[in-house]
Amino acid sequence: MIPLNFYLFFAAALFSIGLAGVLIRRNTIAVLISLELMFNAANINFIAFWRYGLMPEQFGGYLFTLFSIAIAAAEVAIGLALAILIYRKFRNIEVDRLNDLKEDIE
Amino acid sequence: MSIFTDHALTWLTFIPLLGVLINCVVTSSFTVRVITLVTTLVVMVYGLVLCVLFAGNKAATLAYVEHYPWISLVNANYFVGLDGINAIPVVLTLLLMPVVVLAAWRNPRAGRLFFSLLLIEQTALLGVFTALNFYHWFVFYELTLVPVYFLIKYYGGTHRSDAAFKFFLYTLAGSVLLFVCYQLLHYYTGTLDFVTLGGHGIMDTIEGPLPGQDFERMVPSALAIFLFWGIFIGLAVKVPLYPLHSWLPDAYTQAPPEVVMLMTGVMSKIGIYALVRLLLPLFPELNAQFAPLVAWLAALSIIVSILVALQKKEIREVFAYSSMNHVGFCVLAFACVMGGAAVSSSDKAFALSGLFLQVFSHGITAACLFYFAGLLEERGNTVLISGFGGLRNVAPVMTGLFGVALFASIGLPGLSGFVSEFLIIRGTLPSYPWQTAVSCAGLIVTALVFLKLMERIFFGPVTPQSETIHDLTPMEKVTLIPLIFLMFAIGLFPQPLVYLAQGAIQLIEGGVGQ
Amino acid sequence: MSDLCPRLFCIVALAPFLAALVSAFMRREQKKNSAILAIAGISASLVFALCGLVYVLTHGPITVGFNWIVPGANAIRLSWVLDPLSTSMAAMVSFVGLLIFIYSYAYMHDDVNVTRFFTFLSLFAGGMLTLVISNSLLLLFMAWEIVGLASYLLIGFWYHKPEAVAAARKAFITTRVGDIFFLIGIVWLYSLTGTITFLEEGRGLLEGNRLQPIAAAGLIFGLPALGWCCLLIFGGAAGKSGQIPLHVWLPDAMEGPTPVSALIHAATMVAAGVFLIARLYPVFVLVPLVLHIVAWIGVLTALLGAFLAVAQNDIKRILAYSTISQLGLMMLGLATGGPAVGMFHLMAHAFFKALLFLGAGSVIHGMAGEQNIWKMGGLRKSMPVTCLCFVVGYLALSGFPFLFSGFWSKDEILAATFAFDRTLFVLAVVVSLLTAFYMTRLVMLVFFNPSRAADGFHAHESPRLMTMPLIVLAIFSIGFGFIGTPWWNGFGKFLAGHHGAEAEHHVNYFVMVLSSLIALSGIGAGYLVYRGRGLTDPLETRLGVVYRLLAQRLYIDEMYDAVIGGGLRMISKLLNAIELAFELVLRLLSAVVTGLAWILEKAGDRYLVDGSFDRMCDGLRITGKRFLSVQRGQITETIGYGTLGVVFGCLIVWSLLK
Repeated sequence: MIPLNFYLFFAAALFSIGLAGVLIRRNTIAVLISLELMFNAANINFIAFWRYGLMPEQFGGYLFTLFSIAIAAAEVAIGLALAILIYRKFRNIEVDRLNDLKEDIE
Repeated sequence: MSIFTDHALTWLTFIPLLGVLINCVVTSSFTVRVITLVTTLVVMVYGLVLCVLFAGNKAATLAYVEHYPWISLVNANYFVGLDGINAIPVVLTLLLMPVVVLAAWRNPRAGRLFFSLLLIEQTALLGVFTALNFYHWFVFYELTLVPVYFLIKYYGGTHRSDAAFKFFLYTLAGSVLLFVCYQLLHYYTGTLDFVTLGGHGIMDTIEGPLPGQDFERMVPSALAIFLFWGIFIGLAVKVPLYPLHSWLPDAYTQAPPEVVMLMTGVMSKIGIYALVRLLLPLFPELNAQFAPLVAWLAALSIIVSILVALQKKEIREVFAYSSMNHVGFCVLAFACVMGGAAVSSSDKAFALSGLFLQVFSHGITAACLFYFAGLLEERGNTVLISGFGGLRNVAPVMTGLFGVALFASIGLPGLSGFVSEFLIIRGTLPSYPWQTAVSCAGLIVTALVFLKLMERIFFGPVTPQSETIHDLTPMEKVTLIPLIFLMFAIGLFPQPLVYLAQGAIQLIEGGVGQ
Repeated sequence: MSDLCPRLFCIVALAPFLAALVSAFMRREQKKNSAILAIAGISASLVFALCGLVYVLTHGPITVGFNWIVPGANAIRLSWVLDPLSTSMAAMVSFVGLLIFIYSYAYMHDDVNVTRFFTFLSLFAGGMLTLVISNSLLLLFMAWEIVGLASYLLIGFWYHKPEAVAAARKAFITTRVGDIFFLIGIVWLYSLTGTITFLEEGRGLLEGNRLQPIAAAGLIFGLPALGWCCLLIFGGAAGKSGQIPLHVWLPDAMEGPTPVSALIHAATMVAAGVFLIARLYPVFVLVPLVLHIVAWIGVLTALLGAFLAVAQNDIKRILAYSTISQLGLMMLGLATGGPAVGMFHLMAHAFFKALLFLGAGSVIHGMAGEQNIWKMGGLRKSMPVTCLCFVVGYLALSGFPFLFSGFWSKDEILAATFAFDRTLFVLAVVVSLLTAFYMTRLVMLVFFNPSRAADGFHAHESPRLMTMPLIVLAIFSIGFGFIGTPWWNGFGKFLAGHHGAEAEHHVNYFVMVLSSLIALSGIGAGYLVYRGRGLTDPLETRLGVVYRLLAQRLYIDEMYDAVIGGGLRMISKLLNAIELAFELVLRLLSAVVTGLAWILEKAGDRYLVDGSFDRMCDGLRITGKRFLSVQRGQITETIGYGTLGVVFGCLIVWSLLK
């Protein structure tokens, strides 16, 4: 079998790529895509630990992953809806520019 | 029925507040007056019945006692009782309040607030006179200042704010001193009940019989002197005694006349009463030591106040200073009672009975005088004596009754002023001859001051302001009749009042405060 | 029955009070009713007084009383006494009062305020009668003051006259000064002896030798305490009876209506002082020095009154000064000869002085208000009855020998004084001479000399209601004297009553002859000087400055006003200035306190407390802002930092778990 570490390294690499994407990319859609990558990394972790874990015949592992995929999908839907609304308001979906939460320094 | 006799004095003190509550929901000004009058009359009847029963029961011991622990940490108790010392002031308050209400009847500015304040004042006054524990007493003592402050501030004359403020603050300063002294006293003696402090603790209704405790020994002597003078000065502000009297002329001239009736009639008696109740039993040796000095202070107050009155140009100012003169006699009598072994007990009995009679008599006559002053001011639109003249022609009945009140103040026999002055002089002359002689000189000046006033106002040509003065209305006559009647009644038959006070007199004769 | 009379005796005093009370509520129009009421009241007094007199003649003195004030173990009693002194005074006062009341109704007929007049008269009568029947110094003092009040009200009766009002005040204040001395004396006596009743079953002031032990005790400046009490009481008597220096109110009191002058200021009230001393004589006797002082003051008063009377021009003023003079003589007689002598002259004087005043009133009435004797004259013809009665009174006052009561009473005084002290005697003789002189002056100018009234003015005789009392009084002025002659002194015997024998009385013929001569020469001198005179007073030209001084009453009134009045005004102004000083002190104090509070508020509170707090808050805010600037609103940044934090956290946890 392929050792567990391979899957874990792979998931970690995927997660980092996703994180880097969230932090660096300016486009909201790109951020969302990177967020998906992070989700998938976590899912891979789940499946890997399920497969190589203590009780492989239990449904828990892939059920958890199925839930996660579903929720990720829902979350992306909301994210995309928000992105569309923001675009409609600000005509711009660059994360850098969306800084209304900033405190104005007098 | 037993509720009313068990807690008689509490009921008596707080019934006026019921009147206040009813007043709060009433809107018509006539109804307000009726409610207030009815309340004061009810209190009066109730109180007089109590006093009559008290008198019927030999009037010697403490009656209607209620003693409940209140703040046991500082020995503050709710402690009321009626005895020889406070019977007469209580009767005076009871009798004077309905008259004050009647006097204020026609006052156009007097509304709900005015009459409610009067009722609160009555509660405060009755509380002051019946309280027998210092905290309890002090609460009511301070309380008496509050309604009067507001009454002066809202319903008074042109300088009312100043006068109200001065009155309040000055007397408050005195009471602060009083409070401090009593705190110290409590620290040393551990009790604040006047009766216990007086060494004639009442018997078994409180925690067991109390032998006459020698409180004087408990307090270090230097401190005792400070306490003595502190309490004396604190109360001397209230009386008032000469140097500490500056609040009086302003308060008496700026307050509405009905309120002045109450102030001079009853409130000024609080000081005297407090001297007898608070100061007298505390330090017998100091009493004897300082009595001549106190007598001189009294004589000074008597003569200076009436000499000042000689030059005054406003009616109310003259009456204010003469009022001071009359309470000075009470202080003179008090000095005699303080006298210790140097004064014979029969002299003390005379002086004390004279003191109480003077308290009552002056309350009635001074209230009457200020009532007339108020009537004149209101009708003639001026406060100056020179504004009036020839009143005898326009208002003969008013002149006649006013003359009766003036002669009662001068001390004419047959009217109440004479009996009290005679008794006081009889008591004080043997031991303090010079002080008494000076005070008697004051009597001559009093006659001069009032006769000049009478001449100016009653006789002579009719001045423009006097022309518009109409004679007494029936309502005013009704207000005056009780006062005039009492002047004659007490002048001719003073014995009932003396009998009421005899509990106190017997105590003094028996050697309390010795 | 014999028990009832003493108890009912108090009606003597109560009846007029009752009359006064009822007529106080009467309306102005009921003149006649009020007069009848007053007359009824005093008649009742007279009846009961006479009953009392009879009672005393048959029984001994008796007192009736009750406890009035009982402060503690003591008791102050009020009581009245039936004894020769009180009953005879009561009878005299009510009798003279009755006559004067009747006279007043006619005299005051046209006045608007007659009702009030009779109310006050009744009040006075009640007070006076209470005074004479009282058995206790306290009751006496109270009645004394009531009488003073009535006098005030009556002198100032015509209140639209400022002189009358001023005179009333002067009377009240001057007598008040005396009253205060009196009060102090009473209280002192009370405390020395423990009683103020005169007769009280052996414990009274006047009884037996009760006061003997303390008679010489308590010396102060050489006079025993009891003596000082007596002097103080005499001070009161001096005020009421117009002795110097408190005599100044009497002449001014003439501003009141003439019946008032007759009743109060001639016959009764002013006699109250003499009565008081007579009443207390047993006490005064214990301290002989006091009697000397009384005698001297009496004679000096008599001299002053007589000298001043010579130079007055108002008929009532002359009579007023004459009254002062006679009161002085009464005091003299009292001091030298005892109550019998003093009281005898008091009663005789009451009759003829009242007669003189009522006669003067009749004259004034007839002359339509004129009071200056230089504008009168010839009234002998136009007012015969008045003239006759007046002359009777005049002769009585002057001491015309044998026929008139004044002679006998004055003779007693002179005899007693002769035995007491020669100097006093000489002075008293001078007084008698002057009395006769100035009275003759008066009578000549008013009745006998040619008329100096305005042309066409005809004086007419007064109505019967006025002349009847005059006649009655005239009869008494003659007849009363005969009960006090040296040969048969019924009056003296009566007064001495049942107590002991009266003094041995040998008739002093020298004095009797001398006094007759003096009286006659005084009358003669007056006749010679004033015969036929009409326009100017010869004395004025002859005596010049002295006359002017006398006419201006030695400027005593002016001196009193300047010294006492001015002094009082000055002290009062000074004290008022001190009052202002108190005000200033208070304001200064409050300014200081306010200033202190301002400083504390500005410097302490605002700068230190508030300021430091404010600065701290500012610092916090600036720091906060600095921290705030970190946040730029970038979500990415936020996530980035958050991630970093998580990573670090996990590292820490991992290392810890290791």
